[in-house]
Amino acid sequence: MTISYKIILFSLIILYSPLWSQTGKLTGFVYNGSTDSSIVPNVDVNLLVYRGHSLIDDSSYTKKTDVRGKFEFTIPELDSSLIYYPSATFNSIVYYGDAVRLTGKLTSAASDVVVYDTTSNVDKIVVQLEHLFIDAEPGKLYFREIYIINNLGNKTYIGKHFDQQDKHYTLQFPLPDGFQDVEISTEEAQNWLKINGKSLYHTELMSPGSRQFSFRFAVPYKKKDWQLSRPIIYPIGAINIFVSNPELVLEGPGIQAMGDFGIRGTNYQRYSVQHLMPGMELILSVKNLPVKSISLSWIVLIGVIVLLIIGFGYTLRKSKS
Amino acid sequence: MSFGYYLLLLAFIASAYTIWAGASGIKLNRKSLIKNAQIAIYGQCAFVTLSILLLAYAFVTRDFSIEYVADYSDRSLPLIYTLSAVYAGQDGSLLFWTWLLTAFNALFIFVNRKSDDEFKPYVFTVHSAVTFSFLILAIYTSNPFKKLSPVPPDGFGLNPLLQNPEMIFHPPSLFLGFVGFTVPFAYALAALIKGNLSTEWLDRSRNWTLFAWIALTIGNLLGAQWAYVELGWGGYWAWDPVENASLLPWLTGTAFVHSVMVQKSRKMMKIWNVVLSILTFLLTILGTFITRSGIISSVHAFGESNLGTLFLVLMGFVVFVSVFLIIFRWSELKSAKRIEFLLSRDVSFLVNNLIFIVLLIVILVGTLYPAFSELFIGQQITKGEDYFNRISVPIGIFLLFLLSICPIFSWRQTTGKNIIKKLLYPFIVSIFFVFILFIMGVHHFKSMLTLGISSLAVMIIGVEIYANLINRMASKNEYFLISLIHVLKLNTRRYAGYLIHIGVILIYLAIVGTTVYKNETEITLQKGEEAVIGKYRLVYNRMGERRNSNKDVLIAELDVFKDFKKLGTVEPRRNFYRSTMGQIRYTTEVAVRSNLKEDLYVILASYQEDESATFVLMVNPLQIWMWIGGGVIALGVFIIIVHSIKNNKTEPKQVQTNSTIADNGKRKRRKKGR
Repeated sequence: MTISYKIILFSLIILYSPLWSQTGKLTGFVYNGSTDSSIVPNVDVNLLVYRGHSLIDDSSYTKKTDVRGKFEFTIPELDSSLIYYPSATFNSIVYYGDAVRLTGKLTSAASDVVVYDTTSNVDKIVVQLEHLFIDAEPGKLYFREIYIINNLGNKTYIGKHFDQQDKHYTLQFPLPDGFQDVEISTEEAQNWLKINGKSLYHTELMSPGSRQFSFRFAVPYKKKDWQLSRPIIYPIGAINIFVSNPELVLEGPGIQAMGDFGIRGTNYQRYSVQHLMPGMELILSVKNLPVKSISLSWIVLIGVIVLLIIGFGYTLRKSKS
Repeated sequence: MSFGYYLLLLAFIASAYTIWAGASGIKLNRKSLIKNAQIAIYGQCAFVTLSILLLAYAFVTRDFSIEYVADYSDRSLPLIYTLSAVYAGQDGSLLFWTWLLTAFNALFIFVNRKSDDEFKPYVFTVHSAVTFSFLILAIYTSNPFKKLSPVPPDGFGLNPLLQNPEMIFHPPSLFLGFVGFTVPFAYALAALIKGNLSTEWLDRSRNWTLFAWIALTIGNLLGAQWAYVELGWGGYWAWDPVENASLLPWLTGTAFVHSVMVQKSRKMMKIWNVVLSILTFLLTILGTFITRSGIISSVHAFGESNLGTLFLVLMGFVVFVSVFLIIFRWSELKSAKRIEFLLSRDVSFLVNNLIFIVLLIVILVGTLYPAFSELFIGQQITKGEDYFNRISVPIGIFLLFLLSICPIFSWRQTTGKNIIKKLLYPFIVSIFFVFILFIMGVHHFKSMLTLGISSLAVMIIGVEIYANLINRMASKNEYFLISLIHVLKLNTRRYAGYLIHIGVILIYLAIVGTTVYKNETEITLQKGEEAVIGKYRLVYNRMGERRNSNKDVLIAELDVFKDFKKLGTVEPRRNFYRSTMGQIRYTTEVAVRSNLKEDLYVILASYQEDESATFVLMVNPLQIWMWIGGGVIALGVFIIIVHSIKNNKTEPKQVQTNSTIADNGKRKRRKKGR
């Protein structure tokens, strides 16, 4: 190898060495998932920068896609603790690409963003699976519901207006009469699960794909039997019902007992109901509930107080006589 | 509900019956009813004993269908802490308290089964009324047998901070103190109801009071020791509301223990004794109210519950009844004698009582300040350590001064000449002692004052014993040792009292050493590096791990050298407690190397992946004397109680009869006068 070749080779190494070029590059395409993944030119793409879970920059990097639907960001200084998310705004809805982390070893990466057309047609929304946990205390039934919901279509479902209100909702979950103590599982979910009237509403837009969330509530009761009648709004693949109290009996159309089932060491009676369609009704009869009665301890307390009053009355009378 | 709960219901019925049968037996003068009431007390004790045993059994057998068991234990908890978990939470500790109440009442009637104590039916009836209130709480608001559904596969575990040997004994000791003070309270009410305000009720309740006092003293010291070794901040008292809550009844209890002597010797301070015994009982309830009502936040607090309201009702009722009875008996509570001379033991005891009450008010105000500030300005303002120290330190020094000079005073009057005679040599020696300390480098004014007064106290006691010894040797022509034994035997109570005072002085010395002369530093060390604190040199060897049944232990090993000589190894740790419920909780376990001069105290503050670690090193001078002082106090009280029991057996009625006759005579004369 001659000296001139060595100089050229050395220059190339220096030129392309990541040690010398600590800038990064993030590229990607914006596709329309509703129209066979056609590219989307001229849409705004924004790069969100996170450190851990904290958003530290959402305005420094903004681009429009070119005619090929491509975007490209140059990151002037690499920091391996930062995470980048490209986001594209399409039809006023923001969609996100996959997370990217750029380091000294990985100075360029690609992350595409898929956007969708919108629809207000609910047909493609299904409840893939629902887990319903039931726990009874004397006078109160506790329900915990875990939903796995799927948008099977290729458009973002934007939902409907609340009656006479300028707010949207995408999903509705009717709650039984007298419900109380509603708890939503996560703080994040509390932002988009709202109670209005006798229902809990999901207010976030539903892009294609599945999501999961859960909530719990209580219902007071007085008699030994209690019945839930709930209209079915979305097609439901299956509902698994878990009952913690061994003495409770669950009945209803289409409900099948599946025997005992252990979850983290706790034993539940398991029931299942499958293939429920809009227009149908989920009817659950809970029987043999523990009924709140005047407890023995209160009878004893009242009895003791009455007897003490009578006793001291007797003593006073006797002492006078 | 479980069987244990039904047993509590039976105990509740039995306590109600005792109240009725006891009160009616007294009113109608029917011995059969009083006898039945006593049988019902044994019944109460049996039912609650069985109930608490069932709760303990549920803990041992890991019965997580009981909510309380699931909340305070898990499968990996060692047996000893599984048993101590019975009183780790609110519901269990209330049941434990109730059990002690029934046990004390049963013990009281058993001990007095052949006694002609005319207060007995009154005392056990009042005591049963207190038990009745606690059973209401245990049954209706803090039921430890509440069921949990669904049954979890494992419990949530016991707070790691409570998994410490001190915590096995600290709560029972405190509860023994709290419950023990129910007996003098019941005697005080009995004396007020009966109208017999002679010294008899004080004599009868004396041993119970001393037992309660020493249990509370030891309980507080064990709590301080727990804070010292477990909380890992190098201190033992932080003026936390819950710490204060157990200190408050101790203050009035201490004043009561002293005040009793004045009534016995001088027939004065009747009102003081009645009020102090009632106040001490009330403060035990107030302490529980503070910790359980949620009105004040504290690291120890049990959290907000409706229990606070019920305790408030109980306190209100006790205050109402007590005030009514005191007003009703006001004329009989007036002392027959008055203070005649300023230089007398009577005055020193009165001042002692006043100082304790001032200290009580200061601490009570500081403790309840957050609650009052929230009430009036809507914001909890906490009084810090500075507030408590600023006021309690000078008061504490003054109390030490009183303790030291008290023995030189006589009842009724002490002549100036006598005082000078008794005080001169001890005072000169103390001044000399302080001078030596000054030369040795002790320049802190409050320390010099405390150490000087302490030496004065010891000298006064020493001079008194020496004078008695010399007199005895001269008059009886005995050998030194025989005379010493006779002198100590003839004045057992008095010298046991001095022994208690010496225990208190030792605690004062420890407080001075650990607060004024504490040495502290924080340092990060790599393996093989060393740190120096005081005369100690510590070399950080390695970081090791150990796996125990319920925890993983991270151990830092440091060699300790002093004057180039290796003394041994210290191992500060961090314990990571496992729980099958998924939580991992850790505690910092300090390493303490004690000797009579000082404690070397090492905390593993933090550690890094490369095995470097940050340590907090402290040298706490005289720390061990705090615990030795506690032991000396306990020994003194033990001697007094044994001596008193022995004396009661040999001459059962002498003391009581004399005073009773005297006071009964006065009452009759007063009645005739009316």
